[in-house]
This record gives sequence, C-alpha cells and structure tokens, in this order.
Amino acid sequence: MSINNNIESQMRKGVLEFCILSILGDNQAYASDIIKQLKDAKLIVVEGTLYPLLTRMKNSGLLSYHWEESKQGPPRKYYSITAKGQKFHKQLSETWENMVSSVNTITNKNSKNV
Amino acid sequence: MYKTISINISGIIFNVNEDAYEILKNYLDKLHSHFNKTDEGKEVYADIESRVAEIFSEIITTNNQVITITDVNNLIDTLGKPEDFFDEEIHEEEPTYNQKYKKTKKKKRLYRDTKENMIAGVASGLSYYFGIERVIFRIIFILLFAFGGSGLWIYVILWIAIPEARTRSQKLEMKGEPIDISNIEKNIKEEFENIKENIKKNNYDTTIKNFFEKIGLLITTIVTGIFKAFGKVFGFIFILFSVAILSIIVGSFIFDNTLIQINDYGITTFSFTEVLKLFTNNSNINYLIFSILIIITIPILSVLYTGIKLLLNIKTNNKTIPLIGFIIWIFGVVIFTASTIDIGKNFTRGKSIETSTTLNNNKDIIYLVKNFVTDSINGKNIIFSDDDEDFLITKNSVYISPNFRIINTNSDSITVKIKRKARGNNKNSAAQNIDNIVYNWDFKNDTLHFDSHCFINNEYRGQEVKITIYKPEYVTIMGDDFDEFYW
Repeated sequence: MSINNNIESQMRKGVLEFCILSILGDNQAYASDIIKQLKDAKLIVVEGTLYPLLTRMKNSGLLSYHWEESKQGPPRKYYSITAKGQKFHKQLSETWENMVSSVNTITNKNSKNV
Repeated sequence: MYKTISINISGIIFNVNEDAYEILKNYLDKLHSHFNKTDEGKEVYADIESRVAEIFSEIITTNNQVITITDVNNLIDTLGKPEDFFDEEIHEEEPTYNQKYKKTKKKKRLYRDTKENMIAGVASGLSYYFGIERVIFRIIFILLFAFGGSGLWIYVILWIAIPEARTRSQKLEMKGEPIDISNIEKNIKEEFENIKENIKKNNYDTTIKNFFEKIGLLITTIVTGIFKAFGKVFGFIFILFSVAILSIIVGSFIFDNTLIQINDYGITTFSFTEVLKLFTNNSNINYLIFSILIIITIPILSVLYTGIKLLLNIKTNNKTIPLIGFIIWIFGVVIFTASTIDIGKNFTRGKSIETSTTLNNNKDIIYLVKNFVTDSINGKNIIFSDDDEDFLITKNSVYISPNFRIINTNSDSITVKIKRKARGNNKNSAAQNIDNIVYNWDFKNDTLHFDSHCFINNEYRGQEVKITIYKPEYVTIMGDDFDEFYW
C-alpha cells in the first residue's frame, strides 16, 4: 500500500465522519439517504464502505437508530445523532474551520511561490 | 428459458437466475466470512444484507419478477467489491505500529529467523512460535540427527516449507502470541463454530437441492471441519509416525544389526544390506539399496511435510517441491525395476541333480537319527535343534531344512534318493550352485544319519533338497525324531 493512498484514506475517513454528523444534523436519516448525499458529493464511491463506519459510530455512542417499517423491502434503520454526537460534531466543526483557514493560508501563500 | 433459484434475504424472498445466484452467493459469502468475526461485523453484515434486499425490491416489478446477472453486477458496483471493504479495514489498522502489533498478535505465523540463525533459522523461528528456548530445538535436531539421521530430513523440509521473516510485519507475526494449549483449544472451538455456521447456512439454503445432495454437503462440511479442527493433532501424529519410520529405515540401511531374527537358538542381527546380498553378488546392489531408500522415504517425507504444514499452520502453495519429489520417486522406481530384473536373472535357469544310493541292508528294522548341524555365531557354537525353521540365516551362512519322505516299494532293497535343486543365470551357474549345497548323511550298521539342515553358502538361489527313502513294506523305519516322516 502506498503512503499516498494511506494519507488520502486517513483524511477521507475523518472527513466522512464529520460529514455524516453534518448530514444528520437535527434530522434523522436512513442509511441509503446518507449514502446518496455522500455519493452526490463524491465523497464515497461504493456504499459498502459506509456500513462499517455507521456501525462503529453507533457503537461509540455518536449515533443511535430505530427501526421503521418500509412499504417496499425490509425494515429500515433510521439513524439520528445523540447528545454526545452533537457535542462531537460541534467540536469537529470548529476544528475543521480552523484547519481549513490554516491550510488555506499556507497553500495560498505558497502557491504564489510556485 | 432460465432456471431460477429462490432465496431469502433479510426475510424477503427473491427469485434469482441460476448464474446470477452463483455470483451473488460468492459475493455474500466473502463478505460474511470477513465480517462475521466480530459482533460489530455481524451487525454490519446484517445491514448490508438488508440493503441488498432493498435494492432488489426496487428492481422487482409486476413485469420483472426475476433478479438477473446484470442486477447482481449492478448491485456489486453499488455496494463495492469485497476488496473495497477490506482495504478500508486495513487503513483502519495501519495508523500506528502499536495497533498493528496488536492485530498481528492474534495471528501467529511461523517464519525462519534469519537474524539469530545457526543454519537457516529454523530452530530460532520455532522457538518464537512455541515460546520455548531455541537451544532446546537445536538439541532436538542434533539428537534426531544422531539417532537415525531423521533430524536432517526434518530440518531440510522445514527449511523448504517455512518462509523467511523478511518484512517488519512478518517479524512481528513471527514473535506474536505463543501457541499453547489454550490457544489450540481456542482454535478448535473456532473451527467448530465454523462448522455449526456452515451447517446452519446449508439449512437456510432454499435452493431446490435434493435431499441426498444436502446430506452429502452436510457430511463434507462436518468432515472437513473436524479435519481442520484436529489438523494440529493429525499433524503431530503424522510427524511422529514419519520420524519413527524414517529413523528405522534409514538406520536399517546405514547401521548394522538392525534386522533381528529370533529363534530357539538365539537372536541374530543383520543389516538390511546383508540380507539383500543373499540374493545377488552383483556390484549393483548399491543401486538397489539406493532405489529402495528413495521409494520408501519419499512418501514418508511427504507425510512429514504434510504433518508439519498441518501442525504449524503453514500455508504454502508450493507445487515445485511435490513435483520434484514425485520425479525423484519415479526415478527410484525405474532404478529399482532395473536392479530387480538384474537380480531376477540370477534365478532364470533351474537345474536339479539326483543321486541314488542303494543301502547294503539285511535288517527288518532300521533306525533314523537326525544330526543337528552346528554353526558358530559370535564365537559360540549353536546347534540347530529346531526343525520347524525352513530358512535360517546366520552371520556366516544360510541353512535350509530338507524335505523328507518315505515310500514303500516292491523292491527288496532300501534306496535313498537325494534331489538337489538350485537356480542360476545359466545352466553352469545353476550347476555350480547345486555343487555348493553341503548336505551330509550316511548309513552305518542299521542306522541312517541325516543332517537337520543343509548349508548353502552365502547366496540364496532357490536351493532345495528333497530326500526320498524307498523301502520294502516289511522293513520298519524307527526314529525318535521322526514321529511323522517329514522334516
């Protein structure tokens, strides 16, 4: 595995969690909705990778879910954000904004040199 | 027209084309075996299955009732190939070396330790694997080498079978959690869980398989499961068995006194070579011994190889070594055949010589006495008192016991006929071999003396001695040693 791949996937992983929390916000959503939004934003390519992530976030107490019957197909899991998740989301937003502005400052400054 | 298979995913029934079913099953099995290891994984797998059911439900309309191969391929494109899932997992584990170490600690692998090696690092690698001091393995190898030379075989096979620890992760794997009884037990339990799982899966299979097919599947699942679970036990037995046999065989060829003959007159020991030399005096006896060694040892070495692979859970798909072994074995068979044909030549021509002697006798009763032959073994004179043995081998020579019978005739005289037979590669050598048979008898006063055994030198060429006494009916032959008139 190349280092490039590794860094990229590490970055995406962190961002993904942040995005999931953002998508959920105050609403609840079902896995396929979340996936659809992430796919549209080109954050993920295949759906499969998201299921382990959702389960892990649920297990670490950031998300909770409840079952809802579906007219078509099996019952669906509707995810919503927990209090802990909300707190974490807020924290992540701040970190993200700080990071974006820091990174922007550096890359803008250096791109003039290139 | 297509055959469809009806399957149940997340409680919903779908009809799937047969070809599509194979792909789908393969795909889901891969995911299942990957995720099923942890509780979290099981949940993820359930989510994925329910997503599969959902995607399929969207496809099914009143016009389209069947899932096709295109649908399955689309599904896999949407969800991602198993590699995509697994890659993500690996990224998860990779961040720090500590985490990596934790992960590899669970699975321990056997490698050769080429850093702290004496020869190829086999003993050192084993010591990490079993958590035992490497000195102990070295001593075991040396002892095994000293007794029968099997240590060398095992060492070389391990050298071939065990990969060298090259990368950092392999070195970590090498040093992982030691294999002890509780771990082996855990392994066996896991295997049984797998069997249960597989059986369950087979029961869920709603495919229209007939009853017997299902039973067959069940049996193979159980048998392979048990084999896997007890693989280590079998491996251990294989190794013990093959080492024992190898030591005996190699020992009996290399060392003297490994074959033992026990009879009433004592215990004699020979080397295998000495016994073979009875049948041929050709110089190609070495080829024969060499080929027999190859023919016997290669299958045993393969058992040893399998045993080691089973015990230490080495996964190699090395086809070259078995192939080389097989070629050498065939080579051995060819040499063996050529050598035995050569030996067979010693037996091609048979010849017999009969001597007839009429006794000078006027008594109505004559006596038979058996003359017990003596041979010196290890300086002691040993008398062959046992006449049950047809074939006696001593350090110096071979003795065979003659065939003996008495026949009544109308003639008035007693005639003793002694027929000596032998074989050779031509008439002359057969005659020579007959001449070499030493058999003594005589008639003195009213008593016949016969040797209990005849001496046939150091070469067995199918020699036989038949004694027939023709006598008038009115003559009685008496002898303590001749309750029955046979030797």
